[in-house]
Amino acid sequence: MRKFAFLLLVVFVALSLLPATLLAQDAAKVTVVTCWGGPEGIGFTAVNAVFTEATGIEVEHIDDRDCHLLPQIMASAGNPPDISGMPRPGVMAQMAREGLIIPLISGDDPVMTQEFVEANYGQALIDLGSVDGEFYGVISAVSSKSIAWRRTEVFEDIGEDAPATWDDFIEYLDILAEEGIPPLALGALDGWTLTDFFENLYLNIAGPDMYHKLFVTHEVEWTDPTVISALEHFAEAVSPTDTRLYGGSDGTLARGFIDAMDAVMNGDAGLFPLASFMRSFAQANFPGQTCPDDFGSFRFPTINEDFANSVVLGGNFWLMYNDRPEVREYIVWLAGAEAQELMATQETGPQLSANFNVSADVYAEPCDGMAAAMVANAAFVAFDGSDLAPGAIGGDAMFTGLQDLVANPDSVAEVAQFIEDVADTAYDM
Amino acid sequence: MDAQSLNLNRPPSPTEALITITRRGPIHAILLIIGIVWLVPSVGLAATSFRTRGDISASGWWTVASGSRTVTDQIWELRVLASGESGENTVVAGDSISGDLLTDAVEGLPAATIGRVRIQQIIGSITVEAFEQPIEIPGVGAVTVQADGAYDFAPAAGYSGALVADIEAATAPFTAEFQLQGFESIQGELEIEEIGESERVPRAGKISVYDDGSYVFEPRQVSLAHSKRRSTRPPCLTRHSRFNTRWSAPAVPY
Amino acid sequence: MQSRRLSKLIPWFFAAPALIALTLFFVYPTIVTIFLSFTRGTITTPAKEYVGLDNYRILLTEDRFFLSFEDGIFSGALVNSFAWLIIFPTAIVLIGLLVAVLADKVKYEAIIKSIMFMPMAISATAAAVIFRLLYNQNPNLGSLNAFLAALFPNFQPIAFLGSVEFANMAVIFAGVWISTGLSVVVLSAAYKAVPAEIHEAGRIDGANAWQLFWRVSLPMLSGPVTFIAVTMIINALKMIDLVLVMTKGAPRGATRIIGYTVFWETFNNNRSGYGSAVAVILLILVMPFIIYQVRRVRREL
Repeated sequence: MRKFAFLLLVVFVALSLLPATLLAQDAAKVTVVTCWGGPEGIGFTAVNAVFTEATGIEVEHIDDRDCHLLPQIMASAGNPPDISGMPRPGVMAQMAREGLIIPLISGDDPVMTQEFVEANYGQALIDLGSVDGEFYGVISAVSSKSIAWRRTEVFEDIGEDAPATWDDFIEYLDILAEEGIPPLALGALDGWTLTDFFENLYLNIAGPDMYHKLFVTHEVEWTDPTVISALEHFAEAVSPTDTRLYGGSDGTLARGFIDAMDAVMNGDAGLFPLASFMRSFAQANFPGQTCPDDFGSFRFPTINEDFANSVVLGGNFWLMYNDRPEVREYIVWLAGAEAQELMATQETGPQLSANFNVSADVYAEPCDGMAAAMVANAAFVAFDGSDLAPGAIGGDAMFTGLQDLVANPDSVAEVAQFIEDVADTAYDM
Repeated sequence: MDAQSLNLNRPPSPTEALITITRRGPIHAILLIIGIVWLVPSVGLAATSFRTRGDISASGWWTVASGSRTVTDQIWELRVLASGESGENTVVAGDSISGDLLTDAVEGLPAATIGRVRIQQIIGSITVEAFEQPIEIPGVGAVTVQADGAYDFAPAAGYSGALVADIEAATAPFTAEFQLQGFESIQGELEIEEIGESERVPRAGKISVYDDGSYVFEPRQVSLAHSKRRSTRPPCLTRHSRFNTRWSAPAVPY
Repeated sequence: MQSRRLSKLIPWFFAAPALIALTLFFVYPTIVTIFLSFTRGTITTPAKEYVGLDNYRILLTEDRFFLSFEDGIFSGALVNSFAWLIIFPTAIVLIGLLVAVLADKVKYEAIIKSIMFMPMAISATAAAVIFRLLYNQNPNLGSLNAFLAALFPNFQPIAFLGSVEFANMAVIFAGVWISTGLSVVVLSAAYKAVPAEIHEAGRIDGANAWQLFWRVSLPMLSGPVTFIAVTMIINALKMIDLVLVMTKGAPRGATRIIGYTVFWETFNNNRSGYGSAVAVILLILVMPFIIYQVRRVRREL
């Protein structure tokens, strides 16, 4: 019965896409699935128009909010798209192992040469797009999560440099508190703002391998000393909660991420550690404020020098499902500096490029350029871990665990045990 | 039967009307309270829907009608109390203060203590309800208001701030608004480590001391910079009304 | 002979569309949900593994967000839903009754009833947003804290939605605010429908206003009151939208309720079997009220 229902769904989706796929058989045409509706979709369509003009190859863009799911459903109906932008590396790995997607630089006739990829992307990002040693996904449209937002005048009046080490960071929090500015505005209602914070700590303390083992494979348990250390750093930053957190524990737990950014923009609070995409959120609510003149960000402090210059990021991996000449041409073009620069400079929906040949100067917003450069030049990278772990961990247990820590920073051991208990069963599914 | 219907048609006498109203009082009160409680969120939603996102996050929706809040200036006073002598300066926020430190204090840098810094800000306001009665303000002093609007201020021991009142020619019975200056004093020793380099004075600003004993003090401008966006927002009120750290003296029932 | 057989079939023929729709959209999903509750799996691949009553065992004994007993205090979604179950319908019926009866005696009845009914025209999401603002901890933004701060000197602002003690009550009140309009309108109509003769008879027998209400009006209103109460109990158990927008179950699970847990476990945590088990528990809890409601409606017909 269930299979029947699922089949029904598949048939339904397949039929709804039938005209598109029928046309795709025709001539030189590439179908691409992304998550980008709205302004990003408009920008992406404009980028594709440039490709069509140069090569005569039509690009059909299908946008769907469930863009990680749609290619799987289309593939199980026998009509996968040619390319898709995949926001979840976990699904990418699963599809690679199922043979749904095609390795890009392996085989006798690779889609992309090793030289081409290495001439455009850092090794850390190439590793991130690889599954079992083969390169499947070119990362694009990135965001850096290893930054903290602050208002420029708060920052400059206090007269401190951006805190480079953890000790500097804690000292900076103390100075803010001394100045009467609650140091941290966290939006704990949106649990992912806390997990981003934790992921930065963990990547920097334990490095990408351990990070992978903690979130993806669960070979490292949540009670591991490295995890405890990261949780303790988190607890250190937020305690005592009365003076470190804007609004105290309760106020923090009731606040969403946009309100937290507003508090920083208002000068009510000092810092908000969250991703580079907050720039546009801030400007939407505070028109006329420029970045980095009125507000800006600094890099998350380094805790472990062994993993200095590490970046937690989000982004889309370009994956290839069908091996046809026009598809190859399109994906190579998409990964190259020309298309990446076009995407970066769109007026509506500009996307940050991880290609290091795209200069930080091309961005209309200098802060975007800084974030893009941070990702492109990172020595160690990791994808947002809460998106890598099963939903019960990355979307719930980590949220509530870290919320517990905001409420009671002394409960590191209990929080670690709680997440481990959930993880114990969550990875079986 | 006839009498009764006649009775009903007769307009109620004032006494009867009064009885009806007083008997109905609780009914009206209950309905009024419930009505207000139920109306407030709707009105809030309506008022909020007309505001920009920035305004929504900056002030409550009920301030739409009342307009902007009072703007007060930040007043800074820097006193240097080294070697028993003091220099004094008062400045409205935004300017910088410069003056001379006692040269003695600067000798032997980079480790001399220059003294104590006292910062004053306008923080609160009080309402006076009775003339010619001294009003105690804890930690600050006592103020006595005369019926002609004049007032005396007797500072408490250890308090050196001022009190400013804006009293219109008073008529009885009397309510007058006061503006108080001060009462958040920050004192501390400050090590000057390098000549000519600016040092951070916690919660106050930056000070640079030169080898001739002169200094420049720049009050911090954090909240003033907001005025780019909302010029009506008082800097120190913003900072201090955040979570009820507003000066607590108004709690005294005047 | 044939026509009689046909006449027996005709009702089925007319009932068929409804029956098919019911089977397809109610009976079938219910059966699938009950089946899924005995399995483990994700949304895309449900029922990977048959686990028997394991989901229920974990829910009732190990999941601290569903039911936990610590330091002598029960907590979790089940307990929070219980608070909804008691407070939500009671408050709605009491306030509804109060306004219906009192407003009947004043000239501005239409105004007060409009005010009470207005929230019904506002979507739950919009209401949730405005209540988030009302409950804001910053007294410059949150009306409730501003009001309390004006009332009590030295008042320390409360983060109503961030404090474990207040959050569930705060969300329940938002729900009461939205739903009381229906109660007011229904009960007011019912109150007016009580024949004036009965009141008059009571008055002649020497009953005072209080006795008239207790002994005459209220029994006449028992039908509508029960209707409202049962409807609101079912709504309380099913509640999702308010919690989702206002608190997402935070702080620390203090506002997680059963209806919300079904959604959260199934879609956010991608545990279709576990979420189904919660849905089945919800079904079991709601069932008696639905049966009662249906029976009563049938009796009234």
